[in-house]
Amino acid sequence: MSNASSLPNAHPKIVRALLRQIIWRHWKNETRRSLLLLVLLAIGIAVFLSIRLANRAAVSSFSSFAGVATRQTDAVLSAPMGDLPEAILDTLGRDLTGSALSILPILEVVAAPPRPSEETTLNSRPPFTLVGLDLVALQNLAARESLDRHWFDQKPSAPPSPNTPSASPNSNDLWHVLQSPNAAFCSENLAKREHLSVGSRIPLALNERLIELEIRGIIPERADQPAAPTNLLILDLPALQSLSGKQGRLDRIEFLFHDSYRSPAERDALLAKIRAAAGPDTSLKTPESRRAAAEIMTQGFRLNLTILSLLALLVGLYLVFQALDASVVRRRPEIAILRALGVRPVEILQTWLLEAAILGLLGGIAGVLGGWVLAQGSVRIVSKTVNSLYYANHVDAASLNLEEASAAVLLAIAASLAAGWFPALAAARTPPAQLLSHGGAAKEPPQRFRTGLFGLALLLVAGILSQLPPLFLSGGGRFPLAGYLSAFLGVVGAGLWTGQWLRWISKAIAPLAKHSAFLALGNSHLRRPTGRHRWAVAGLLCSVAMTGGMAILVSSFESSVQTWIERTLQADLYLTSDANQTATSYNRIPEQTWRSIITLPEVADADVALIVPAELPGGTIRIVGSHLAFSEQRHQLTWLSEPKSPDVFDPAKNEALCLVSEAFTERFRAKIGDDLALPTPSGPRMLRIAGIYTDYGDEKGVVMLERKHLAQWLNTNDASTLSLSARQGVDPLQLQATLRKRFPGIAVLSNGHLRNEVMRIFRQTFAITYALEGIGVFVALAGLGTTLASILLERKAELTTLRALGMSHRQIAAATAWEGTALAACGTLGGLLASLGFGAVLIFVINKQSFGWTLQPIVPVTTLVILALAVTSCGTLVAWIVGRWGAALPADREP
Amino acid sequence: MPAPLFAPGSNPLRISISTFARSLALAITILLSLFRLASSAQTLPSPPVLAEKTDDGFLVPHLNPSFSFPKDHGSHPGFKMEWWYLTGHLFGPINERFGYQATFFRRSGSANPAPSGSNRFRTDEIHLFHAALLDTRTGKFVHAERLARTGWESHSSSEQLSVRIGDASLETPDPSIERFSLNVRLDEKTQFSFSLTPSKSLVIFGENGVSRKGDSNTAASWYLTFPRLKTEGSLKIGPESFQIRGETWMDHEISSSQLTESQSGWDWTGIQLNDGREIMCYRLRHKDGTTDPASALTWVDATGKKSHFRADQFRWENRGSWSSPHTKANYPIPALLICPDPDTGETIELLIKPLAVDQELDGKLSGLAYWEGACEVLRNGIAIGSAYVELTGYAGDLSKRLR
Amino acid sequence: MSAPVLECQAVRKTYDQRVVLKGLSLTLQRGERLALTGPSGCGKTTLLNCLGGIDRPDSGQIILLEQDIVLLTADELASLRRERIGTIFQFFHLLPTLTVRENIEFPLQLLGVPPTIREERSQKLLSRVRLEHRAEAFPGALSGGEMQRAAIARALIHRPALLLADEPTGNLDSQNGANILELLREMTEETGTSLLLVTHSPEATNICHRILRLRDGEIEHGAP
Repeated sequence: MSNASSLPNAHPKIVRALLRQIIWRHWKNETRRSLLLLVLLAIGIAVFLSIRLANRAAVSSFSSFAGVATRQTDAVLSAPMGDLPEAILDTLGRDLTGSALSILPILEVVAAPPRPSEETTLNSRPPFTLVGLDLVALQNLAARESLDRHWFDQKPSAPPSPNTPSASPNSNDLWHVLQSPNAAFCSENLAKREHLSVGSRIPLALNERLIELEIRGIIPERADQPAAPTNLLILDLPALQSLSGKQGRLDRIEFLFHDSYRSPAERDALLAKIRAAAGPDTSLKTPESRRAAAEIMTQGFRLNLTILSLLALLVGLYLVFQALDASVVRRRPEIAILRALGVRPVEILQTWLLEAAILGLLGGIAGVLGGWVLAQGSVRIVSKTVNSLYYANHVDAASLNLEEASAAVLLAIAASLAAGWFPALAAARTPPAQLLSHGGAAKEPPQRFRTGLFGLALLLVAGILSQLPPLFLSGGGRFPLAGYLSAFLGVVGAGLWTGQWLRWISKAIAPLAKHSAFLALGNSHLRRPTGRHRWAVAGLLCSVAMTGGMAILVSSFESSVQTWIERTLQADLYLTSDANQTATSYNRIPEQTWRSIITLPEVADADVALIVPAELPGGTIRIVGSHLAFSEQRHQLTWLSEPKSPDVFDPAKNEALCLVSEAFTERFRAKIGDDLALPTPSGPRMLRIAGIYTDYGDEKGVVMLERKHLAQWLNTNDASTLSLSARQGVDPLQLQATLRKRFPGIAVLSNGHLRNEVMRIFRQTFAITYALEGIGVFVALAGLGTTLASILLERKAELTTLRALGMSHRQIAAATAWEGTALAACGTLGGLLASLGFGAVLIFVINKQSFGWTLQPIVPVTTLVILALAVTSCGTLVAWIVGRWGAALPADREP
Repeated sequence: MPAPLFAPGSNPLRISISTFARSLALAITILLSLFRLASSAQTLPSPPVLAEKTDDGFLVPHLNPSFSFPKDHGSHPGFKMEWWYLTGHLFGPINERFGYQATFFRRSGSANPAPSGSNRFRTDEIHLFHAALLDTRTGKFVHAERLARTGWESHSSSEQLSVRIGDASLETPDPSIERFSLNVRLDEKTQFSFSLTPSKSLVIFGENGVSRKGDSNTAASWYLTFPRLKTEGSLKIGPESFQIRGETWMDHEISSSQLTESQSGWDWTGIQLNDGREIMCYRLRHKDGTTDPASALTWVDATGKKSHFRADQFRWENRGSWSSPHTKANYPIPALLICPDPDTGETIELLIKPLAVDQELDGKLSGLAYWEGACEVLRNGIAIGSAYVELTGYAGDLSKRLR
Repeated sequence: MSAPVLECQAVRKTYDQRVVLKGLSLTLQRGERLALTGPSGCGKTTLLNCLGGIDRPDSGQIILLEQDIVLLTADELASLRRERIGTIFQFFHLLPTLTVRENIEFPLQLLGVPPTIREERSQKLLSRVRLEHRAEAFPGALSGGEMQRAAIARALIHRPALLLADEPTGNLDSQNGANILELLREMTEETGTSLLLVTHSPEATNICHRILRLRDGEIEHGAP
């Protein structure tokens, strides 16, 4: 038989004719099968695309609000730690006189809707972003920047709705707005969603209180500007300062350059001028760099998600490969006839490849549509996770991005070609009908040892890769590329190598097989496993390995977190502002309030903590100021590197000392004895790292120091959280009820409840992976089924023989069931072993390098055993069903 | 003050501000015009006794005030509104001619503001700034507006004349010397910086130091004017810079009440004659086109002595019309002023001709478009002085704007 | 005289509206060797499939060993085939994943015969068909003649009453074919098995007692 690659090119007319008359007709005749193929590929693409869209949406929500009032601003000034003092405006105003720009001071605060019931669940209520602007100065901007004058037109006002209290006649009068401490403006979307109109009241939890805002106007959508984010509320700056207790403070100052600064050199000069005027304890960024920072912050998370989505795609590919392979098998007689008629192998190859490409195109398009639909749901999940781990965002919908969609379709085509490559080659290798042997399956080159060795080689490479360090991304993120490659190659290698086991299994069973016909028959096939057998085993092994590995990771994680929680959470009650619903809510309890709480007679002792974000050159971290001796006395910290001297716990001695979390050391490559500079508003403060502890609550890194000093540097004695221990004989739940009643704006969590909440949030972050695991196992079983079906189809002639020999349907099914069981058992066993390796890579390499957490590895034996039994029995079931189907195939007839 | 409620399709933030600023500007100019007339206290029916405070708690200017300067050149926080209004004619080294206007408004929102609140973002007081510059060589007219709340962006001192709104400021460099410095940036390319020294003493319009404007017991203002200030300084337009000299007219008015009138607008002029005398004339227009009897004209002689004339004693006629391409309004300029000369007793005709037709301020912020421009005064075809003319209410009905 | 091994009455079978068997009848006695000849497409294989219980006729009776197999269920038919029928095919149809010995033993395995007895019998047959030296080879390594010899051994190891042979020499050269035919004759004589031989070749008919000619689904009576 001639070698396909050495022949002259295929004749396009023949290829087209083949496509039209053979391929297309098969597709029409086998509509269900064809659709199934399409659906398989589409699902893989859909999952992949939906996760990518969700990623994009979640990051894009982190954008400056400024688009509401005017176009995107040109620069943003903020403090790396804490907030800005109003006084900086005096300097800026003076030094920037004559520069053609507008200076916009802004205060931004996160508030939450009041809790619906007494039990508080953390991170459950989408937050409101309250932005304080100088509403008076805004008018100059509007007049300057807007080209249309439609707001000149006085239209008759809408009559107040019957549900809202009648607005005062001067409700939109500027003075009224300026002098109302709780006047706010909201977006059209919010007004629609909550049925708000002018005069409506919105209750919110802010810091330690419940406040009520009154809507004075609704910001309409304008075609030429992005719509205001739904949960945005705009207030007059001094009013928000008052409401949030941040008098004299600003969160940032945004700058809008007037048109004259168009050339990059002019812009840079102006940026330099602003930097000089603002002074060294501030940081100036352009909106692009802020967005980039947000992207970097979540890069690790998003990359991991993308990896998972790629996995989905691989799985879809695997199924498509199986299906295409099966279809070649089915059509082999036909291909043989074509070859007998003189069609060249290269023409067969091209036709089958084109079929794969078309499948890819159609599947890709279907996948894009499906992916968009899925994205609406995955957006919510990703957004929630980003919310709880990174920053406040609220995304309602993921929009279809042309770039991503085209990439997905191209990917689908590429994937389909990859999946269809071997089947197309096999088709092209079909000998002409006369030579097609009727004695059994198409001959295969014996590959026994080579595949096994190759598999072992891959395992070795995987082992080496697992020792490599991660890729360090800009901005402090780490991507464990070598870890992923190691996992991938390891699993594939294990799959390839495990094919050997089939022979060992069949040898082991041989004594038993002597006594049973169907065992003997089934076993006989395992003695010389074909490529298909190995594929089925590999597929099962991969999915079991991944599911098992994930289960190991999750159980290790849960156990480590559980232990950590038990150590860390020892107080009876935890208090924080009810408005702290996201990772970036930094609402505080004012000093007066917390002092009154901790001096209550029911309270034995209390730890007061102040938590602020800080921007270090390598990325953003969290600073926790608490009474370090307190944590030490209660052994609340799990040490990775215990401090050598007790100085760090003595407030009189620890002003230049700190403790850092494990994630911090991973991210910044720091160790004990290193110095770090905190960019406080009163200048940089040097701190020496005295100890390293584990902290599963944060992956960005935490620096812990004595609150007394931090409060001084930040010039605030407010608290972020309080941990209370009740006196002997006092029921903590009673105390909880009392505190809740007295402070409706403060969330009071009991120890048990907080522990549950923390675990709940952890599980939330694994939400997607659980789903993907389940899909993986299902897919592998489906793969097993299709492989067996292909195998049986190829053995159709044998089936006739068996029937002629008097084997009943049940016996034939039983033989197939045994064959399938052996495959499943092999795959499962191999998968279990591989899962230990995979789990190890996940725990010690991927997790450690991405997030920097040390976990106690725990193998959930029960879960794994159940998984193994489930997969194997499902495999048997699938094989039995396929066997019965095979047994009922119609007899061979004479031509 | 009536304000429109939220209208769909318009941003309430802007509506509320624009409405407010609009009404502020209107009320101010109405007040301004009526107080300028001042003299015809005789034509007004005798008004009731002045109250001490208005209904919303602001002080009412009382009779026979004893002013002490420089303090009373500064702001008066207990009063609802106040402005410093400057117009001037300037000449460059080779007699390049310019005209300028700069107005600093202060408006209080509440007589008893809440004590808490940021000093840098006051909620009880705002400032509004208008300025314009005319380059007669090219006819180019540049104007600017800015609104700012009292705080870090704007401030007016109550110790002396020192008011700042954004980049613009009017200051007293040395409180012991009666000299003021004005700094204005109109845009990236246009700015000026002048030193103003009074060359004629302060004129206080009205009767017993108070200018009454109507029947109510709170309708009054203190009206102080420097009709001539020697002006020196620098002016920059685009790439060019000039050292200029010239003369400025400065009004400073303090009051606490607003008018709601159903007039359609007014025409005002402040004339500086070459013989050292000044004329201030004010014509209120009704919707039907007639002149309100409260309109008036006042002469100030070289020594500062005032001569008043009532509405029936002078005539203001149109001698032309200019249609604005920006707002489609038709402004009646040039104007002809026919009035008696107190020195000679004879009636003279003064043609007030604009140095450039387009001196319209389109009032994006306030929504109030008006014409305020540098003019020359001609008698019998001979230029005998300079003037600034203000024409309001031609771009749409003022009263409609209010509603 | 004992009852005939096989008796067909008016067997009729239609495929896709084409009538393949048109009410065919025949009888086969114990120990008799009967040849069925006819051109291609005349329904020989279909008849064989019906007689072997692999296919069902649309109407008619097929009485095999005193049982009307048309009335039997699929399982009963399979049982019947296991116990009482042996088949050899034109294309050999050995199970490719079993060795020659295992192939030959397979029917006994189906019947649950213990390994020792199986080995004994398969060994005997291996030497009878002269394939002892190929006992552990796989069918893929055998020549056509060897494969058919193994097939014969397999078909007879369980001592069936009826042996169905569909063109057993169709894929063999004349020398091998003659050997196979001779083997068939000898072994069926030895075991007393009836043989129904479907064939084209005249040599095949020589080993048979009777020849029946099929044409268009009907029997043209031929030599006795």
